[in-house]
Amino acid sequence: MGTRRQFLVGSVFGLGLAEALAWGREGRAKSCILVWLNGGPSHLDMFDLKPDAPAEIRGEFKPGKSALDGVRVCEHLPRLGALLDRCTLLRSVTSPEGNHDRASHYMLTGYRPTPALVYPSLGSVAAKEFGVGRALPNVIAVPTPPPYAGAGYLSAAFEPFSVNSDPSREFRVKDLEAPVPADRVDRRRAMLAAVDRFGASVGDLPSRDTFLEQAFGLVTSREARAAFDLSQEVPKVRSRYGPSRVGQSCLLARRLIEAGARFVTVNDDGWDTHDNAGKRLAGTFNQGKQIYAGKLPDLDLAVSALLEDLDARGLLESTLVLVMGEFGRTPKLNAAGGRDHWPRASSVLMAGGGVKRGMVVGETDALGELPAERPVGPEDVLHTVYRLLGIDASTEYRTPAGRPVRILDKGAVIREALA
Amino acid sequence: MKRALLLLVLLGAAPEPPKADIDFPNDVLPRLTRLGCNAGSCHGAATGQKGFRLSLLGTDPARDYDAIVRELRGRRVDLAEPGRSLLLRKPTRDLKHGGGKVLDADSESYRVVVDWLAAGAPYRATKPVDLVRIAAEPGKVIATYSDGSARDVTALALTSSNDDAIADHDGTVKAAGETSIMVRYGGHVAAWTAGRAFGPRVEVVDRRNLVDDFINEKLSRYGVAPAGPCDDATFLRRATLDASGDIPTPEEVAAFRGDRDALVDALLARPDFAQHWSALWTRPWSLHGGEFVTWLRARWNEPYNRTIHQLLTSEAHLYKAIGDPKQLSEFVGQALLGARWMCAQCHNHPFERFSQQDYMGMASFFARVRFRDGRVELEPRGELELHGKPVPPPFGSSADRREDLAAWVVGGDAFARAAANRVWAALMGRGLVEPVDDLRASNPATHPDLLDALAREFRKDYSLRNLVALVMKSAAYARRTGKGDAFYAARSPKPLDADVLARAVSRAAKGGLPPDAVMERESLARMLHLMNSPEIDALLAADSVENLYLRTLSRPPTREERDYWTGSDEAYLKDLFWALLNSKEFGTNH
Repeated sequence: MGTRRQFLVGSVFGLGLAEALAWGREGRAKSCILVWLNGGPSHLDMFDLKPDAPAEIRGEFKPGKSALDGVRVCEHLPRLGALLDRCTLLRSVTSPEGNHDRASHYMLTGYRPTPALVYPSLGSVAAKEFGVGRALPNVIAVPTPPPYAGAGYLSAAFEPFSVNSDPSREFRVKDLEAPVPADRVDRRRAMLAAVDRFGASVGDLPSRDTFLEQAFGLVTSREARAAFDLSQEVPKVRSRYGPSRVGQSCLLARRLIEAGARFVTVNDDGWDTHDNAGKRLAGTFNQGKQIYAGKLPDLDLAVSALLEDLDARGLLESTLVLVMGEFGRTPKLNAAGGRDHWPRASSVLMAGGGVKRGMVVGETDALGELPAERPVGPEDVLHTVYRLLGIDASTEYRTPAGRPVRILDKGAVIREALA
Repeated sequence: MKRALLLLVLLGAAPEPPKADIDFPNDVLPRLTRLGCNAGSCHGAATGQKGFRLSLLGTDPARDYDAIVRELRGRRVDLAEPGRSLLLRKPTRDLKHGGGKVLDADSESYRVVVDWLAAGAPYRATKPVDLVRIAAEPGKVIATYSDGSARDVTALALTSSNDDAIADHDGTVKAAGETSIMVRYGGHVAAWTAGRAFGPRVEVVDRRNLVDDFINEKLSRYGVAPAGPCDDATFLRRATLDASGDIPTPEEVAAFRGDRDALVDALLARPDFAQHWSALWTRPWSLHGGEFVTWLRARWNEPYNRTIHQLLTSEAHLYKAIGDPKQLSEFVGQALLGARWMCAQCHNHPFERFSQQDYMGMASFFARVRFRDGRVELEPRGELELHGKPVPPPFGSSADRREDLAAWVVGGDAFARAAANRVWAALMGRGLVEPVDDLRASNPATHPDLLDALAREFRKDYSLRNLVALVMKSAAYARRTGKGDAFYAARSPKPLDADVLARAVSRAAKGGLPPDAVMERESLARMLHLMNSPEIDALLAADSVENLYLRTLSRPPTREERDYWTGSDEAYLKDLFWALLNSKEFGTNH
């Protein structure tokens, strides 16, 4: 145990001793990648197929094999299926919130929305607990954060840094490079310090000072900026993740985590499949001039590549990967061949960072409508994530009005999911 | 041996006559509240806890009584053997209890509950009295009842400190300063002030209008000597930013001769004032659409009571922006009256006497309003319901219920106080009441008499412009910048709002900064944009040190600064310009 602790303290660069010890004691994940399937992924077409249900429920996909006996996933997720022995699959997540914004707030904060207060999302809680990062920001959203993935009632300093550019296209994070050479960046920094020193005393401006320090850290750190440079990846790796937005975003997330970021959200759109679910999920789909590749093959490539790549680099044990969206979708197909919002049942995939390998928690009933066994709520999922990250979810924060609020006030760790 | 045991059992089981005439709302419920059973984190949560739900902090005694005595067919209480009641076994941890052990079996509260159950768990005592009000003073809470009797309920009242760095919840002062102690008992709230002076009384003579009477009185009492007035250049920049949302030009800096009242009058006569303030005023409403800004700008100089009356009764765009009666009433509460009624949608308001019934009553003013095809129509009937019963508006009989509501809104004191508090907050950096839209008895103003006085002045003409002028012409507004404090001993610096910052950059650079979504909120991305973007780089051009200071900070450089900046080549001056644009002084209204 002593050697393990020493190893931890020595290897966690940039962590305070107390933080590193806390991590050694509580959590196994140093960082987290959240792959957010914005719009609501269909549990029935992905990880919770019902091949014996009537046609209007089972949909058009056939079950495919997985690495776990008796666990079948969609035929269009073969690579992820083959990796289930490294994952925990939660199949009985349930919530009453069926509106995108409200459900996102619940899944990302662990609190049902109230008009009185917006709560901080798990990424912003990580920023508050781990620090915002010195050169490379600790909490990053690719390309932009989903709704309610922000700092809520906490300071703006804990908002995720948004890269604001699509990694699968001409990817460039704006304004990272100074428009002047390094010696002038140094001079500007010195001049700014002098202007502030001489100028009217305006006291501390905490979030501004934080952002300024971070910005100079980024501008002057070649390593930090290189983390955003996808062209440094060899073509073989780039293509392994697939050419899609979610694929290249996952690759960017891995680079950022490798460079020291603590929480990266990959936000993938297009999961709100109210019509033509079959085509949208697994075929090519034309809408106006846009051609959409199927969501499932893209996700299958992206997340399987991410897990294998992290594992090959020895990063999977310290990196928690979460794949989820705000809710599942209606068991019964609608007239347009799509599925509507269904929060009563959904699936969450977890891997790495101390998550048990080869575990399935809970199941839904025969029609995929409700959990039949071991129902868990968004707050239970978040408790588990915080436990793995070594964050004490009973920590009390204060709202700007002075009200004490815990990181989470309901729910419990899903122990079956812990290694 | 056997007989002795039997005797003991018989004695223990012998029905005792009820010891006291115990009343559920007045005797039992306050004890549950004090124990925390109905706190928001326990059974008072909107969804309860493990199927047992109580009203938040005991605001609905009748429902709580049902939950305890009748729900689950009375399984929570055992009237024959009170000690076996779930109501007692759970909190004493005789049975597993998620909330842990909160009650001792030898406590007074335990005995009261046992006696009440033994008496048959009546809802009311034989001669019930109702709580009429509570009065709080340091260390003492007195409850007064409908029969005129009074009880000392200090031990049962909940107290909390608004700032526990200054005083504990029981009012024990820990540091110099002032805060308020909120007291809650039986659904009533009261507050008292706790604090200690920083030093011996000081005389504060810097008075320019009635605002200063109140500010100075408190400074004197707390022994705080205020900072002196700021210099003219600082005042010009501050007033221009506050009135117009922009920085003064170097020409305006040169032309200002120090007549501050005349400057304020001139600034408030400019169209920029209506433009900037209607944007600022409607920003909290902006989630409902941008039409409010244009609409309010056109009426900015009209009496505010008339404007709002018109908004509620005849402006279709309000009803286009907000369709739901409950959201409309929340808008009225929060945006117009500084009252957070939405808390009461899920539970009776924890800090206020505002119930779910009241909430639905306010919403019902809008129950018959429909927005259709670009205009508002009134339905002949229709009512909102609470627990299956229709809830009509609490007052009024007009065919168009909005007339009754509008007259009540603009005629009340809350309307003027909420507006006065917002004007004060926009100019002084913090509200007399914080949060600005949360005015209630249990959240008192730092300067209650000043808020009253501002509201009184405002009610004379309902002119927002005159109210702004009153504050801007006070000595308190014109002080030098310092740490910023609730006593207003020094000016508190404010970061520039997003729109003001973009405008200030454009003015300083004599060019337009292209709009960019990244400018909208303070963030790392905005900082990087201001530091590195090609858009900013294109605006940088060399100018003399003197001019660069005038253009950005609206003041000439000090001698020290002039001596320090010795370079004169183009790159050096561009870099200085860059540094000035990114400085704290530029980015704040100080």
